[in-house]
Amino acid sequence: MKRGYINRIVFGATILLFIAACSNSHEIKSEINRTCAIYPNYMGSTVPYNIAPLNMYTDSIREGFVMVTAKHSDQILYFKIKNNTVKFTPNKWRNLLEANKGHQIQFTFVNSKGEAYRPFIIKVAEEPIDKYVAYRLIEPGFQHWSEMGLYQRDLESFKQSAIIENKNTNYSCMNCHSFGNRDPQNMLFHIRSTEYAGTYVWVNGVMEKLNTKTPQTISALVYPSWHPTNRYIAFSVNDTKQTFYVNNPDKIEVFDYKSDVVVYDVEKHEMVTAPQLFSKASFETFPTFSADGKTLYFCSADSTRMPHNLEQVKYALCAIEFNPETREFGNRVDTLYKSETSSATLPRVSPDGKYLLFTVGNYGNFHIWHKSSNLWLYDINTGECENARRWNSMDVESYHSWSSNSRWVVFSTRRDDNLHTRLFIGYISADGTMGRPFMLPQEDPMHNKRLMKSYNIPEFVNGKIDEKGYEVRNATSAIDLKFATDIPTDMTSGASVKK
Amino acid sequence: MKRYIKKATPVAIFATIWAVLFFCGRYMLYLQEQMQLFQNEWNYFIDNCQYNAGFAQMVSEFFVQFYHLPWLGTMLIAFVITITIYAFKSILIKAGATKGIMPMATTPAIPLIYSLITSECTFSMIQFAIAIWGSALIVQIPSKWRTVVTTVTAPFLFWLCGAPAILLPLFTIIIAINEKCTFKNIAINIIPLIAYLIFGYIGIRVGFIGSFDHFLNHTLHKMTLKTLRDPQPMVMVGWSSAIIIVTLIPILKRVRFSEEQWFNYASQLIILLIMGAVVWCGPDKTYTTGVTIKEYNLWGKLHYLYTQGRYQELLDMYQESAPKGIIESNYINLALYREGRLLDDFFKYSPVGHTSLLTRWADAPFPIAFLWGEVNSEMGYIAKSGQTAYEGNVLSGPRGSSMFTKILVESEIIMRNYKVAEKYITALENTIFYKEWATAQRAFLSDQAVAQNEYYSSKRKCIMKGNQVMALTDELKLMQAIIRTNPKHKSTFNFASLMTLSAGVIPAFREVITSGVESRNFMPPYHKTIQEGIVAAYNQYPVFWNFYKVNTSTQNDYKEFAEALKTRNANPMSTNAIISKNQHRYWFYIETLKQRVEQQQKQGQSTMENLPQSERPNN
Repeated sequence: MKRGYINRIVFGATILLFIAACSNSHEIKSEINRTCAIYPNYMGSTVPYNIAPLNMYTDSIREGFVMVTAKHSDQILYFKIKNNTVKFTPNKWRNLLEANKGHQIQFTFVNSKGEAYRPFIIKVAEEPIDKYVAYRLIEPGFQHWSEMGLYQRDLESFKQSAIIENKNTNYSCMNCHSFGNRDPQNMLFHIRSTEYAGTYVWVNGVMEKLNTKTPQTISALVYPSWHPTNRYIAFSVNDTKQTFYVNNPDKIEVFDYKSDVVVYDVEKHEMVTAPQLFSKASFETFPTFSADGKTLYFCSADSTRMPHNLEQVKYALCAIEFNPETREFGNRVDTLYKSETSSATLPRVSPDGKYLLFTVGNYGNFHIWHKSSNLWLYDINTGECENARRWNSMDVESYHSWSSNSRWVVFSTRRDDNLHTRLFIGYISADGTMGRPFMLPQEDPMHNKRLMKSYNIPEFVNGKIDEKGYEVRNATSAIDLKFATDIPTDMTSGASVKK
Repeated sequence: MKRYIKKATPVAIFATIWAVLFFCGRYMLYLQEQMQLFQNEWNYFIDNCQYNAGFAQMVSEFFVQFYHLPWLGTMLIAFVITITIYAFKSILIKAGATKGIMPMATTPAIPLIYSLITSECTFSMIQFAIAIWGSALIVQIPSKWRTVVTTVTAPFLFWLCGAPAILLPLFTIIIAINEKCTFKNIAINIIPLIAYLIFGYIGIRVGFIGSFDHFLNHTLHKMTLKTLRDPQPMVMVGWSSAIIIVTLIPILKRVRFSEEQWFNYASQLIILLIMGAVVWCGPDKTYTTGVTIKEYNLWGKLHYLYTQGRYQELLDMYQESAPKGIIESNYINLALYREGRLLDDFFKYSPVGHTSLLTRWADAPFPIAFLWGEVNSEMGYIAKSGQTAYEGNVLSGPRGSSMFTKILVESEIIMRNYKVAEKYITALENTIFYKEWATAQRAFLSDQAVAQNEYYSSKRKCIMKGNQVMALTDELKLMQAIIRTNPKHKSTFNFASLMTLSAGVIPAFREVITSGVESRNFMPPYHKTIQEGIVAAYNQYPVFWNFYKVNTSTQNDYKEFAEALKTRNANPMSTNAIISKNQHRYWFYIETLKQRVEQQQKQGQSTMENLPQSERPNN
């Protein structure tokens, strides 16, 4: 008798709840004539169909819902806003984007009173993005560092895992990770300081530890870029110094006293160079190969007294022929971009060989600390150069990397909070039209508001990278690099040659 | 009687541990709190608990935030350690210990207490405590299920607390041996340990536990204490003693210990206190080589009094004795500055040159980075203040530090970096003890609000124009530039003039004074420090009294003061010696005098040339 009574109450309550849920949940009663501010701001962005859910935070709505309208697939989906946050169900999100490749999706934010804000759209591109992006997480510090590591993030989900952390290597500095053709089996990074110092290179998954300082070079190898065949890696060697501004929001300046460019042959453990890349008269740095591997791009500026003439140093974007068969360089250096008022760095060629993306700032080469720095696009076929305005902001845009299909660019920018670099992903169509970039999505959309570290050197990778800590800790002796031919002393940037 | 002793023992242990911590190291614990930033936020907790030992890390950081109130912090630790002692005791009982062995349950806690006092080992303590608590629960399970449960829960315990979880399979083996010493029983109970080690090995290879606490890096990969970075050696001693005691139970059982509990406990407490005294005088190698714990605790006390705004109490500590080092001098002078007495009383506290105002830069996050952040901020050198605070923040640990974050909030607001200032404010708002301060700063996240606030606006006016890098200038030139940029920012002038004055660098002092006089065309106030200069000058050039129109009564005061100074010559670098060494300090007055004479010339009044030759200062 008693049990029957309780059952009736439970049944009745369930029905009432169901009716309440059906009647009130997704009703729009009125409209608010403005958009609902969201973080991260994905409004109008172009996104790949295989990207993880773009979870969002809004200050305006604590409890409510988001109505997602996809006209192409004739779908209307509703997602809850709870505690100011909307988290899209991964499966629903994936299906929604898959079904709307090449089309727009509309988002309408509705508060608990049924008031709908003005909707906004997100465009879904037809082309996918590489599954992983690798980066370093580090405090945007000055001289010291604490914990840092190289990480990979699955772009189709929110999973981040460590490639290596400096807790594994006695808190050393680790930097300049780079991949050959975005292949996780071909990668390198440097470890500076501690007993693990050296350059660690994986060729087809086999690790080699290198001692890259030679008597002829001014430093160990620094900024890398792989040849498309993975046979060579171009490096700069830099005598670098850091100083601080006493009165500038840019805070830090990093500059070279000297710099040169060399190419490392991974099979022979030899380096080659040319007088045009290794001269005292110029600072040569940031090398990168063309898509066909027959041209080496680099940045060059007239050498001068540093840091006194810091603001006068304007790097030009240059190119020199390279023969992968003979390891010889051409005699002529072509200048692709040169300006009296700006300085070009970090050239990166799209895998389809069509574009060269680089960073332009007012002066110097360490644009990650220059608020003036922006991304520029050079059309290799036409020789035309333009500011990638669609991707740029008032703050820093710096390091960038192309996806395998040349449709996506991931770049670091300080636009989020003026200090910590965040990863943004921009789209460029086959005809060169750029889409509005979006911030790397996080499961908790406020993650980046809390994170006190910067994302550094984003590189697309087309597969998962194995954890490297164990291999590095157990690496034995390092291979000493040498030049294939003698380098005349007067050709070097002042490095002493031991005889 | 026995019953009362039994009931009073936990209280006595708790009280003894609390007393040792409170009297030996409460200010060191306060410093630990200053170098951490725990955020009371669920997502923050989740983020950090995704790693092995992340839970222990979070729990330890939760505890550390209460060190802000030293009495509460010490009580919490005493409570955790007391529970740990009793948890370990239950393990000993299970392992078959007799009553006489029971007091040994306190032994592993002793090194833990000292590791807490000497370094930032709360994390290691919590790791150890969780391992013991977990083990105490699991070993109570009947033997037929214990092996299976240990195998399953050891990796979970490892996830919670990291490497110390190895204690669980080890205790399981020892208890099993005690219960039934057969080959089969031992073989079965070794399974959890083997499984645990395989788990760790695979974890390291695959990388899923290579990210936070290095399991085998601590326990197997590097077995020697010398190469262990963390946990601290004292904590390792705690682990080792726990393992040794449990292992030796079968032997210890045969030794006849006193069954008198009061005797055992009393001896344990006395040992605890004696070790406290030994450690109190011992060196601490955590931060600065050669600094004793006593000294470090003193620095902590100075920092505590300064950050709590108890400046007079800080100064009162040096009424009878002179500061023993630069760090102490720096805190005294900061307190003097806050009290508005820096120029008056600078020489009263036996400064030893310009580093008494700002010690030399060093990599140690505390207290150097704090002092640099604070003093540079007061001097209006905001970029340097922010830079050094950031360095301190990075060196404090992966989650930043409360004291450095506070400085960063201010420097970023002044430098117009509102977005990142807001980020720091949000981080502080998620704390218990900084929430109020942080929320108040939220009101200054705009140019308009800063312009209306005297503190922030006066500092913002110190930002120089142009685009200069530190490598091409020196501190003094920068100070001069700040003085010229914002003449009203008196503290820049005060610090710079005192720095050059106390350094005895007369040309530099003259440059500072010239900058000040040129930029503000003022007659500096007669602070006592400067009056000492007048006293020194008076001995050579009595004409100064006339120029400054000092009445006879005041002249007598100065003379008395000069005599008093002469008696304080115990320290060769004391005030008296400095004054006698730097007679040229009257440059200050000569420069200002020139200004006055020039003014008088303009007004058609008497000039310096009108003075008798004997009364002219020889500059």
